[in-house]
Amino acid sequence: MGFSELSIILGGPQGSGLETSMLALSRALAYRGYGILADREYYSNIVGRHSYIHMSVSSKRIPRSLTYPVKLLISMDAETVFTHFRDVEDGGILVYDKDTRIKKIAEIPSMEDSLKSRLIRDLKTLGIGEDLESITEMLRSRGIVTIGTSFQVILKDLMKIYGIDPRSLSRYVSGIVTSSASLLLGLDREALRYGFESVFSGRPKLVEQNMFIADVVWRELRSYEGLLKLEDSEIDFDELLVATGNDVVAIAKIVSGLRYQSYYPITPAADESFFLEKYEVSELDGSVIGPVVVVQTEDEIAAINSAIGAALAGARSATATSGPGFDLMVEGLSWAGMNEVPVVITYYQRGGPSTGLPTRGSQSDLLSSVFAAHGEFAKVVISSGDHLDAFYDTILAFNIAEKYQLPVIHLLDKFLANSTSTIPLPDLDNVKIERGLKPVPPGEYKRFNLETLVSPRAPLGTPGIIMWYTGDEHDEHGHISEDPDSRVRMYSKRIEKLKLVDEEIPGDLKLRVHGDGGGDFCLIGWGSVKGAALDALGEIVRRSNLRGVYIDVKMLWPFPRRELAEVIRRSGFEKIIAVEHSYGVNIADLAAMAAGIRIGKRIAKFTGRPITLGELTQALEKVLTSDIEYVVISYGE
Amino acid sequence: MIDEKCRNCANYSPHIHFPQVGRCLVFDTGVSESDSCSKFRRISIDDLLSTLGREGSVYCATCGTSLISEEDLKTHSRSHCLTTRVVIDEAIAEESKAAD
Amino acid sequence: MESKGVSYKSSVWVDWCPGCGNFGILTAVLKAFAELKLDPSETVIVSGIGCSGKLPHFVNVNGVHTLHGRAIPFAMGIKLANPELTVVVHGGDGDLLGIGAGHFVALGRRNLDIVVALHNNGVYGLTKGQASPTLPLDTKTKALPKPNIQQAINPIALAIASGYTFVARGYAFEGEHLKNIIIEAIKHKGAAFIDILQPCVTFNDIFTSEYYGKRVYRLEKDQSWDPVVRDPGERVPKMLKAIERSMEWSERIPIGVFYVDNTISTFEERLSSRLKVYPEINPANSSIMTEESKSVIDNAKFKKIFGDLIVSVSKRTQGRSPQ
Repeated sequence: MGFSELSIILGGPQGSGLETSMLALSRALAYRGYGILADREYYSNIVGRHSYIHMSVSSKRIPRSLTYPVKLLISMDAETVFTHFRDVEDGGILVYDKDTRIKKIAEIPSMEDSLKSRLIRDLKTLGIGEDLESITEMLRSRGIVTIGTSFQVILKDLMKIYGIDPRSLSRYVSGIVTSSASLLLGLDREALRYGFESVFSGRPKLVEQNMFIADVVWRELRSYEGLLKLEDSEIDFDELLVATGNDVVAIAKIVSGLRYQSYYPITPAADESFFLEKYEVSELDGSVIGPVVVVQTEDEIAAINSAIGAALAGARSATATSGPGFDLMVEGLSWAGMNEVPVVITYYQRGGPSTGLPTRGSQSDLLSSVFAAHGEFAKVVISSGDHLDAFYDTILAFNIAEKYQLPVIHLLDKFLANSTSTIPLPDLDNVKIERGLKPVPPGEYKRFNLETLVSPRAPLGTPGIIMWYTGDEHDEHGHISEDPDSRVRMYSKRIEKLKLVDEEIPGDLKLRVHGDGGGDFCLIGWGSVKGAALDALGEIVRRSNLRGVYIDVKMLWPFPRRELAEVIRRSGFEKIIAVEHSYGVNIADLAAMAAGIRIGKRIAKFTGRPITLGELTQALEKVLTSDIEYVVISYGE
Repeated sequence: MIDEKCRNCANYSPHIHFPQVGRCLVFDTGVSESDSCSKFRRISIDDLLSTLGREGSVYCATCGTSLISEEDLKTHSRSHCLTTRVVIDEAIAEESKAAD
Repeated sequence: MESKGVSYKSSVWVDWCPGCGNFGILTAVLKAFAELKLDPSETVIVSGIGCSGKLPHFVNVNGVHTLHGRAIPFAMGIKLANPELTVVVHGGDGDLLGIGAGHFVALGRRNLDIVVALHNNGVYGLTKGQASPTLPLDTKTKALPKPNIQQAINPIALAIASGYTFVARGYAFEGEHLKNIIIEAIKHKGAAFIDILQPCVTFNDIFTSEYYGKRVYRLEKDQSWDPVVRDPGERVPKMLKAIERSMEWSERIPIGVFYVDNTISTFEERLSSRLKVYPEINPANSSIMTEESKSVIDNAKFKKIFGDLIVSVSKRTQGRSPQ
């Protein structure tokens, strides 16, 4: 007997090896067929501030949500213990560096004062000292196994034996974390080696040294071996893609035929462009795939406008950004709408307004993206609920953009961008590329031909034809025209393309109803609330015997008003609850405006931390069993 | 009496996250804070003040924080391990996320 | 497109003020394109906002009339996606050196093979003659209620400092001379900049055709003037000379080629060194899908390309021992 599902937190100072630990552990777990979902939380800081990974591991399925409390907390420093000891389940395990046991909360300069005073107040109430030793003692009294190990001793040994350079210590500290987690979870040496080999690919020495660390750690912690042993995996995949949301979107962009990506560095979008640069061109069996021209522009204005330029020349073209960058792109978005340019903006939301919480997540830009840019024109906004959805949706974004000749915003967020998941390999046999291009014969060409809503599009450079584009209102040739009659026809044409999108895109791509269709309530949301929402449906049946469905709104604009109204009408739900990472839970207002559906209850989270299963389940219970209409949840540091 | 260990030596540069280990600036090797050798040179308040004046900060390895005032320097120097150099881990460039 | 006998003039009515310097520029552009026999379908004029922004509509080649200040980023996307195109940017002084100054500088850093033609008239014409970034301090043109309290940018010096590898000045009413500069700029491989002095008959009563007519002189008349960097060692002295000459702006105003550097790689070459297949295989001509509308990346290729991120699951019964 072992555990089929559990949660883990790995914490330490930013830059100290957490990322490597998470990657190695994820790879080792995936190697033995386990599913993982790992959220990455960090400050706007290069090095030193508290950073952690909150991970769900499962032997039964690919985890969809993050949960508290956790079974295992592995800390590289005292701050991690102080910040997260309350997250550990009774009967769980804490691994810590015992050299830090005399540390007091007040002595940690990187901790924010507000957290310090909250902790000190709470500890005082409980009559517990403010030092790490007192806390571990209290944890033990709660049945938590506290495992103190000396990082210093291990690192010193390593320096003596291998003469390693202290400038690369983090490479080894990560090994301590990965090895202890592996030992406790019952992972074997081969899996662990696989984990190290995949993160230190091409650096065999690092692999050996980390295996040496594993030996030391496993010897020292032998008595705890398998304390959190996972059951053998029942997940039936021969191969798993281990990737962040940024990675998945970048991969999908390459698969979809992206050929130009511009960007200006911003969190949490920049990693996507880095990934693209790494895979910008491949030569396989004599054929070239690519190239993707990736350009770091001077600002987001140049990013969007150069992407539009590349699209005019016929390339599948995109840019990636987050809120502050998107705000700068909006004038370009309006030009793209006016000129019917297929361009994709991958928009990773973070906490606003302004710089807000640059490294934390949110879904607070829904209305900003749906209603962005002056004038009226057709644009499409789609969202993705998880990594695998994001893969297919990225391709859909390009297909819609090109088929209907309009800008598409793919609205994602930091939670997805930075979380790592194990997903099955996408099936490319069922992926279609739709460009909406028809050959245009040489001769007179009207780029904005009014005979059809979607005019035949030819790229700049097409032999034998020329065309004009302008941000001014224009005639069919693309020349400036202020004629009212022409204005009405051209203006309407551009907007009415949205009707085509609304009519032609299959309902399944607009919204998805999860659950058996009947029940007591309907939860509605979009994007990264999906996993927690789905798991909460299960929890609430178990706990309160209330049955519900989750409606994942995938296409946010044009809003799937018919589809949503139909779902609501068919099932006759009385209780509709919206959930979102925002204050306003703005999807409810959008549904009211676009579909005339009144959503009476809202669950909001805007701490910048992801919605976790327990808090969502509790909030749902609260709104379902009372008159309370608005619940704010806030768990997690 | 302050012992003649690396932690009190002017040539010791502690690791940013694990200050108990670090680099010896004389031999350019990895050392532990409790090591010692014949090249030991006690770090003086003048060393620290001079670095503070020139570079704008010194580092308190005990607290894991940079000190930028003479007042702080003097307070911390009473019982903490202060240094003029810190080992910035090379892995940070890969470990850190884009964060702004 | 067959370029022989092509009329580069479009049928759109040119609605600039009669006597505007833009006519001289438009005519020079038409003549330069004709002389170079540019294929209209392989040529793109990209413009910004204002009077100069309308220029593409008057020319029978591809035209992209963009946003205020943003012509350069649009042009960059077009050129990088299809490096076979000839891309010429036309923008005003407010456009390229005011709202779009960041892009102007960035293009120099990239040395991308684009021509930037600055319609330099010292005012924002289409919005009633406000002072532009090239209007000197204390100048009071007709429509300004009070003299200008901002200094002027030196476009030539800025272009050189930014890294443009072809920097010249023309005068709108020296048509033949301007045409030749445009031809040289188009032929140049790398970022080319032409500062075109352009009288604005309606709003600029200072920098008029009379004003320029008395002052402009051709650099090339001075036989010792050699602006071409042939060896990297010549770069700094020739740059300094060009910048020094660009400061001349009183009784005499030089026009002609200030600076040419053929020793610096173009952005296309830099990309080529990374992408290998570029520019022969580029975003515009590379295939992305099969005849069956599938991605050129199938399941097998996917595994090869992204193998680093794929874990082959090995679910043997687990060994429990670390050893």
